Amino acid sequence: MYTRIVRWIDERLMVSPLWRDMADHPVPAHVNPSERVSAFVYCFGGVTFLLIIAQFVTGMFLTMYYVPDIINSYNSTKYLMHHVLFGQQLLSMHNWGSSLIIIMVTLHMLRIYWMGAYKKPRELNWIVGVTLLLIVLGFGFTGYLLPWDEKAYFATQVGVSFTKYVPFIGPALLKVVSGGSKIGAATLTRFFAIHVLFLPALLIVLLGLHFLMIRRQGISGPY
Amino acid sequence: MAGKKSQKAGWTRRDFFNWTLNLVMGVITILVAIPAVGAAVSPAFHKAAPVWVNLGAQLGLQQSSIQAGSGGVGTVVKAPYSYVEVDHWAKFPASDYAYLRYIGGACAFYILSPICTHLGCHVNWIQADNQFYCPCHGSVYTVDGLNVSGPAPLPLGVFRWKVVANAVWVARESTFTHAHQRSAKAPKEPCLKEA
Ligand code: HEM
Ligand code: FES
Repeated sequence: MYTRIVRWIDERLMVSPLWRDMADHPVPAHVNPSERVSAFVYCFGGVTFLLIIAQFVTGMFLTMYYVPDIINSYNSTKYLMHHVLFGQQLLSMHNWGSSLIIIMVTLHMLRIYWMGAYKKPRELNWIVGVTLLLIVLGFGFTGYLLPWDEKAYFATQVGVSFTKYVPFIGPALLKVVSGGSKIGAATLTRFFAIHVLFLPALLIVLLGLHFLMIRRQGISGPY
Repeated sequence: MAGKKSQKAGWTRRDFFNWTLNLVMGVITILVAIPAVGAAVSPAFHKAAPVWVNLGAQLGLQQSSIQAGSGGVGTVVKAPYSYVEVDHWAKFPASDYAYLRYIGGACAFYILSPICTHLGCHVNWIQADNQFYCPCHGSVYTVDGLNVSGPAPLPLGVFRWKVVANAVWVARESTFTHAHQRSAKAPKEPCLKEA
């Protein structure tokens, strides 16, 4: 059945070579944990990617209940936690996932740093990588405000207040980041839009670049 | 790697890793899918509970119905109520009214929903004709709420009600009429009083 479907599609579009090119791509021995256990450090990037996919899925389902509005965001989150089947688990997975991603992306970056994998010809991928790191941290910062509980509110107040120390444009920047002269309804909608639309779009584009460059240049080493 | 292959079983080292990978990915997928799909289909497991709303003191309602009628027989009066509408996580004050009539006997009150069974407009009670008229498409109901003319397919809904601390409470349900929906052939004047 499965093979017949694949054959049917291939007769028309010939896609399985594309897939095979990815799936059968040989992994050099020095990157393969089944050849050499210490190579597990090469998995950190892949694990980060896996966690990001899970984060996309749980986030999409959370949006079925979450309302980005100062009256309803807290109540809708509470409703999700107490009255929705597996709602508590769904929210927890998204919550813990965000921390795990930051841990894994840091480990991944340390691997690159310690092995010197950022050196020529991979400088551009290091730059894309740093941008990815900033995007991941941006997800964390904007997502933290969304439940609109006390902790979220004051953490965001502290977070955005840093922008006022930017030379010359500081005070204006603070207003742009918070959507007004205080943390309120406009901050929440702004952070929500950034969290669920702007950052995911950026993330997908940059991950695409990241992976294309890795394929193009091959993995670094062995050292 | 050469020579390590076990030809008899037909399983290569590569097959083994392939299947292990598939298994691990499958387990992860299931772990993510359970809460995700669970949350999405969660509404299917929710039972809508009626909201009991207070119409006011039993004696006052009885007297206003009798005073509006003639010869000691009660007639239809508007019984307004306000309550807190709970829509999932959203709560807001709301108000509506019921049509209440004192009928005496064991079942003291007969309480109708004002919602027209055609498309949901609030019907008007016209005392002079002893009938309800819908302002939207002209449906007509008798004093018992039976549909007698116009596009309305069913009689008006009847509220379940009970007395708590000398006050009359009605059950606002999640049905179209917010009340118990009678079929076209249901008894004329059901008593939906609860203990
Ligand atoms: C959004 C988070 C990220 C994901 C999903 C990701 C994913 C990956 C993957 C799957 C690889 C293949 C090798 C490996 O896993 O170690 C890789 C390689 C690489 N990553 Fe990332 N990465 C991310 C963030 C970063 C960051 C923050 C940096 C550095 C600032 C970075 C720099 C690099 C470089 C230079 C390589 C090439 C390594 C080599 O050829 O040895 N990446 N990335
Ligand atoms: S809604 Fe009452 S007649 Fe149409």
